[in-house]
Amino acid sequence: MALRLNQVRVNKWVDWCPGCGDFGILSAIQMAIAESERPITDFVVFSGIGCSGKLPHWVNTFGIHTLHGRVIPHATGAKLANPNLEILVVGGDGDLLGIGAGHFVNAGRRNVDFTIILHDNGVYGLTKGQASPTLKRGLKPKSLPVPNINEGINPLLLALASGYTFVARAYSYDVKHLKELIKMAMKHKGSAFIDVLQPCPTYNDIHTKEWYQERVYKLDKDWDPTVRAEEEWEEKFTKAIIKAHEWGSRIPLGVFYQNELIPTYEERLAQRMPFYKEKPPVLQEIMDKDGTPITDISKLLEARRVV
Amino acid sequence: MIGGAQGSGVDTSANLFARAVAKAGYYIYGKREYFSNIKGRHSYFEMRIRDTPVNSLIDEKDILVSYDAETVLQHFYEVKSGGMLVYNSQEVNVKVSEVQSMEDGTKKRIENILKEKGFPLSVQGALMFAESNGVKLIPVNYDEAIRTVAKRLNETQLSKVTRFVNTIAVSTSAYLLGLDMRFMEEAVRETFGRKAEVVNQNMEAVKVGYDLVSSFEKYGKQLSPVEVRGHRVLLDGNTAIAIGKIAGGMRLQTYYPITPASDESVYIEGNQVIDLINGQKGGVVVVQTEDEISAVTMVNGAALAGVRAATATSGPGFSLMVEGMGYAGNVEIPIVITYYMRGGPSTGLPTRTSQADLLFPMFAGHGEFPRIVIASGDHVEAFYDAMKAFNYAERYQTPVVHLVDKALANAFVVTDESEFDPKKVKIDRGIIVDGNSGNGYKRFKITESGVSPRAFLGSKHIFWTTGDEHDEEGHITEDSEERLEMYEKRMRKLELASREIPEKEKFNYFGLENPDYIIYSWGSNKWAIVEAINKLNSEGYRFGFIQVRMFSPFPKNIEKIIRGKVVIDIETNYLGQAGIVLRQNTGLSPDHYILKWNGRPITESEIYNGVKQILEKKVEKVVVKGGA
Repeated sequence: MALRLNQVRVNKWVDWCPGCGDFGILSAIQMAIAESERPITDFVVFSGIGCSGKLPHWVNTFGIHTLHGRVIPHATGAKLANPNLEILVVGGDGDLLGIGAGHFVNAGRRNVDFTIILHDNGVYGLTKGQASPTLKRGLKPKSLPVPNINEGINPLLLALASGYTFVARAYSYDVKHLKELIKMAMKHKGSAFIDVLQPCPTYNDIHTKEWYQERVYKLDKDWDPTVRAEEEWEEKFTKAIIKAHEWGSRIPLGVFYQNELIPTYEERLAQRMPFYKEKPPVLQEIMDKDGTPITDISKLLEARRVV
Repeated sequence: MIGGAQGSGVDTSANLFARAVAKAGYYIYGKREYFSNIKGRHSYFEMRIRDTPVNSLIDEKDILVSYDAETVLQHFYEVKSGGMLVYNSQEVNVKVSEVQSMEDGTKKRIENILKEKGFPLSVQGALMFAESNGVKLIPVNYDEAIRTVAKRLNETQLSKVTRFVNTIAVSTSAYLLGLDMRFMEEAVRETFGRKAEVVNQNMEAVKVGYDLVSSFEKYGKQLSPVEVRGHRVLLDGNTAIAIGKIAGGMRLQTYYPITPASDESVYIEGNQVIDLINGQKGGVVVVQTEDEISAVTMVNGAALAGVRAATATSGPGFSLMVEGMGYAGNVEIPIVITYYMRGGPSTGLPTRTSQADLLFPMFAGHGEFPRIVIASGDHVEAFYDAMKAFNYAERYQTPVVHLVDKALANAFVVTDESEFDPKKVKIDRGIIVDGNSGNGYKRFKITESGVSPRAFLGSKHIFWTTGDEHDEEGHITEDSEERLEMYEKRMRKLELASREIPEKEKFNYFGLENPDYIIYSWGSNKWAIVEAINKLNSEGYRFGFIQVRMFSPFPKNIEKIIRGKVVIDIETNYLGQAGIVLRQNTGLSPDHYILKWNGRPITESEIYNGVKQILEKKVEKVVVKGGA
């Protein structure tokens, strides 16, 4: 049974700036969880540092607000210890693509079954508006003293190249669309990535609500991003890469690529340890009632026996 | 001692020899020295053989077995009077300057040793030096020996046989030490058992080795068979710790490849499906991460989910883990970091030992948080410490750093299998919240002990964590009063650990009660010191020895023991770091130091001689520097 929205909310004042794109992401996450038909305690929301880092505090489930850049490995550890958890990772563009870029890329190699949501606003908000890795070169939002000297990363291309098996883009003011994408991403088997374009009304006076609203459009029904057989991969992956380049007067939203044929990290572990799904690390007994360890190391020692 | 070029099979042949000696009923302690290099540089094994358990090394070598010029040049001066030196008779004319794999500094040092005595700067000179010291020289024509092996195996390509030169070399020493060939045969079978052809080839090499030196008189000490009760195992420190972690219930380990830590994780991954005593199977998830930041933070996540999780690294890796450990300290996650100490700073001496990383984990991290820091002295202790580390972590909900010297990580020991008994340590998971209703649960509830009942992700008890200061539920707070209370609550856990953990788990005491002198030390120096003070005490001195096993919280009783005594601090670092911790906790300082920081472990001989210098000349600090 779906939960009521007030069961998913935490009754605390949300201290983001009025008009912040983060509100849309928070609402979409709360709605997706509420509509998921799963117990609230199945969910864990992990975050990094910055404005987006506070998000878990306003969702009424396990909320793990971690370090700058380190949200992905924290979430990975929890998921591998308990694959029954439904894990959502939220992070800013500086967090996931700057200080945490190494983790972002390597998560793609693993394909752990979780969902990563990128708060993509082009600036570091809490430190007063420095350029983030997604801000394009030459742009000068009002918080920068001089135009941005670095090129901007295209998060979708980086996700595709890294091996994410679900790659999508949303716009934070289209909450319903974002919510649907989050639900799809949660259902997806493997690492799902959603790049959420969002205005920062305080520091980014270029990518405003108005700027986005006249550019974003949704990929239509003819667009089929799903790889259903190995021979389709090359064509669909290439199409996704070309589509992900589209930017400027028209900015596409939706699912760019999806491929469930790649085994998840959990499935790879289960190949080595067939009992992994039923008995993941957290469900394994390690001692009897009086605390005596129940691991039998005799074979390990026997292998080292010399006499 | 046996040496040779890295990648030429020195490891395998040393292992073979050790197995054979163990089968004859002897205990062994050995060390492995190697360069940060895959092939070509000089590596060597040194082992001490005894009919009683042994856990330390001495300087003087009975037998040096070599088949290349560099081994002779690196070690000729270490063989004792009356000892034996087996060398390749075809390489006596090799000059020091001609050995490409030897570093310039080493060449200069060796040339100076030879020059001083007026010997030629070559293998010949080194042999003359050894002979003048009373060493018996055993020339062996390895080229001829290889041809003989090839002929017996009907092998026309000599290159296929040259790899047996190691087996030939160790077999010469087996003969000289009077080791029955059947022990070598058993060892060969065990080592190469799966491949009948290789067994056969190595056995021919063993026979040729025995024949080669049969015309020489055997060594003064002989390895005649001794009765063995029960089973014995051959283990290095990495493996003892790996098995300890598995036994202690660790079910997730992360690592980024680094010397000398990765062997532990690779072993665990290779043995990740584990037996349980109820006949069922368990499994350890091992993740090779993209860096050490990921390694430690993945452990944070796993431990939040409720599993016993750990990572293993050495200095450079720990440098990257500091922020992640601080998070665990702040949000009270039980994590274990096994920290193998190698020479620093920076890359330092990546394959050599060191105790220069004690203060670093003691104080690593910004802000203040409780941490438990333990250090093991030998393989058996390391096994149990690896198990107990999880108990400390979970009982006090805080990071535990387990320090291990590289010397211990790579030292191998032949010891009684019964020493490793997981039942000796009860598992303590600390206080975990019970009940089916999660209503009103507060993960960081302020308590008198400082410990708040823990819940796991996915349980009925929802909680939040944040690296910010937080309230009892885990939400951010900057309130000045809440800050004070939460801060104190965290720090109280260290006082609790200090009160609860028995002193006997925090330090060992050896030697005489009410001594005149106290040796104060830690880590792998343990047995070298025990043996040295036994010798000193048998000479009429009155020595005691404190081996610190837990630096945080620091053992309270040490102060009483050392007050009024002459304290000699022995460490393999420059600053005497454990001495600094002693001063910090007791206000008392060591009176003398024996220190070593050249990357090689300290030996019993160095300790004995160092103490003698202190006793006789009252020097404040003795710096020792043995080992190639």
